[in-house]
Amino acid sequence: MRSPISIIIAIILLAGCSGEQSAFSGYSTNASRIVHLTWVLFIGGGFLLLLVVVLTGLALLGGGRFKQALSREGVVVWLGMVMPIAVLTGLLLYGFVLLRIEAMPMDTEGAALRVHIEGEQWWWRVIYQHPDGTTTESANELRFPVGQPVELTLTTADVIHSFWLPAYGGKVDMIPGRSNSLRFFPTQTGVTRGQCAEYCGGAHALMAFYAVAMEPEEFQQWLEREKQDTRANDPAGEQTFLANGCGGCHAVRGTPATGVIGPDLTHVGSRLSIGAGILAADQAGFRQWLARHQQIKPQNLMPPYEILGEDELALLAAYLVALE
Amino acid sequence: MRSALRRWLLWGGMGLIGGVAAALLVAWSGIFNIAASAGHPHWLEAFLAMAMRRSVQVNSGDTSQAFLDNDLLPLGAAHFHGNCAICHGAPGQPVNPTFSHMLPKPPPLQENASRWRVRELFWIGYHGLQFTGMPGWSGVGREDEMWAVATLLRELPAMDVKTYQSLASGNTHMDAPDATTLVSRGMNIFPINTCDRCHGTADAPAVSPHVPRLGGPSRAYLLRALREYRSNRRQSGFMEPVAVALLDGHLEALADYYAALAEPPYPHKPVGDAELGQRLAYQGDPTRDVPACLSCHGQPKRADVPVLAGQAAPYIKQQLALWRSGGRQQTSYGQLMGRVAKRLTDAQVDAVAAYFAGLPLRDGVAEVPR
Repeated sequence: MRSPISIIIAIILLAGCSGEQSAFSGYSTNASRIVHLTWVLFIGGGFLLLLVVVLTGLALLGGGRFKQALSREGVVVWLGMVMPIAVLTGLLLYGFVLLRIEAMPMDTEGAALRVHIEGEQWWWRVIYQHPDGTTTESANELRFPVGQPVELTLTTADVIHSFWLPAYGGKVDMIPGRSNSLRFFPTQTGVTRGQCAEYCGGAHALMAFYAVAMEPEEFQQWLEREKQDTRANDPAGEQTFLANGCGGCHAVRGTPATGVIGPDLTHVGSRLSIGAGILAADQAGFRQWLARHQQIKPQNLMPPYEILGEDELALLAAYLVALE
Repeated sequence: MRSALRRWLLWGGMGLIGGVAAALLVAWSGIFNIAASAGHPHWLEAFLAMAMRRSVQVNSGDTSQAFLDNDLLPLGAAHFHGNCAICHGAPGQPVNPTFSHMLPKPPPLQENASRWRVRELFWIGYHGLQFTGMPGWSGVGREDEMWAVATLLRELPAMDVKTYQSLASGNTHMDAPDATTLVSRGMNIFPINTCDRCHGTADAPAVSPHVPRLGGPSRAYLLRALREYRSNRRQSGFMEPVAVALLDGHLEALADYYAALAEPPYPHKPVGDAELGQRLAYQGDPTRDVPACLSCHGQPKRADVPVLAGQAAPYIKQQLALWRSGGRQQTSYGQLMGRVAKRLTDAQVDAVAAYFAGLPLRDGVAEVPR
């Protein structure tokens, strides 16, 4: 365990156990049922494995009495036929029950929140679809209330991506030309992380996002705020943003920046991350991203902006942080 | 049989070693006179000429499609006059005696250009020739510029003095100097850093639609361009020698001058879908991740980013072609634009060129696009 590779593997494996991006968290009804099923299978399977190992050991090493007992026809009938049928039938029925429970809250109530998420190389376009037909665009962060069903519509703008938010839902592919959906019923608040789970080109490993599950009132407040335009009280920063052409790809609602190519930056200062889960949305993060994004996230589709001087970087970082 | 073969191999090997040793001995002894004044014996002259001709013929064989365009003639002439004529002569101007004593003697091209195919002339000018004093093209990747000179060389044998001088001098007009001026300033009729050999003046347009129009681009942009040419970060066989011949103070003064000048447009009809160009200018093409041109080139914009309005279509297209081929990646500005240019289709390049060429020069065009 002293070699660097084994340490790295250990870190990766241990990271899988932390709650932030763990399939064992089970923060929604469906995810917790999957966790339940997983444990039933793990423990049951482990128990059966132990049984087989013990019997094999007795058959090989045990005395003549054990060997004789094991070779009786009754053992083969009971352990080899009756038991597997009973166990598998039990599991099947358990599975049916799980599936039925899963279907219930969605069908009866309908989703309280609908969000369209589009995978793009290499980030997530997140579009909240309001009941009145209007939409609000955000990026690389999904927020939803607990205690109500959530329905995600998953599409892609280019190649196959896979939306994976282990703590709340399963893993659903985003296929060109198709629209898939993922429904879940969140029960626990918290901040968790998801990422693209289907290799989608150069920066695939750096295509992540954060999910924030909130209390319903808190979420409503957040959503109302998110719907609003934003205008940082920072004319110099805004001027720098526009003069450098940022608005050609990015939108900041409420300013002349109306680009639709890259992530919507309207409230980027209040997000948990930038660059699709790569850097913190603080001054240092924005500065890093603007100055070195092709080194931090190689091949990402934003052109390199090495034309920006120190003073411009500072102005832009302050401006973007202020877009709350 | 085998012993005969071995004997031949042995003698051959010894002959080879002996030959190399003899060559080394001759070179080391210094008895071979390499003085240019000594000339070459006839047999050596003939051998070298044959070797050069064959090498040029063979190596220029896969030269890509010729880009010959009569609009390039004045550019080729101005460059030829400033950089080539001193060795190769020109209509009405003999080879400078200093250079006619080189070995090999540079050929006067009015008489000799017709002995080569145009693609061979292009190849020689673009790559240069070893051991002859003929340099390669100083603008890396700027084959388009060498084609301008090749266009001139194609016409040169039949060109009269008046036509040549009018092409080479462009918008420069200098009266024959009187004796006093001659004594103190000399008589180079159009020195290499006479900008208006190619660029427009307040009264006359640029000599070709392949030349950028000055007067629209800001001072900061002009200064940046001159500095990039001077430091070999923007490639141009035409502009680099000019920029290097200037002093720091000149750059500022020229940027001031040209930022304030408004020149008339070159009478040229752009070809392309200007309507599509306008759409790209204002909205870009999100399906190809192409942002609107005017998000950077429209108001408000960085001072050192050029406005595009009023530039002739061939110039815009040529620069976009350079970005797309990676020819302008040596500056951070070029890297930014290169990323975007590579996302354009051929038709989109033609369209934006046609759109911007159709606008008046000083039109800052719009606020940021909607």
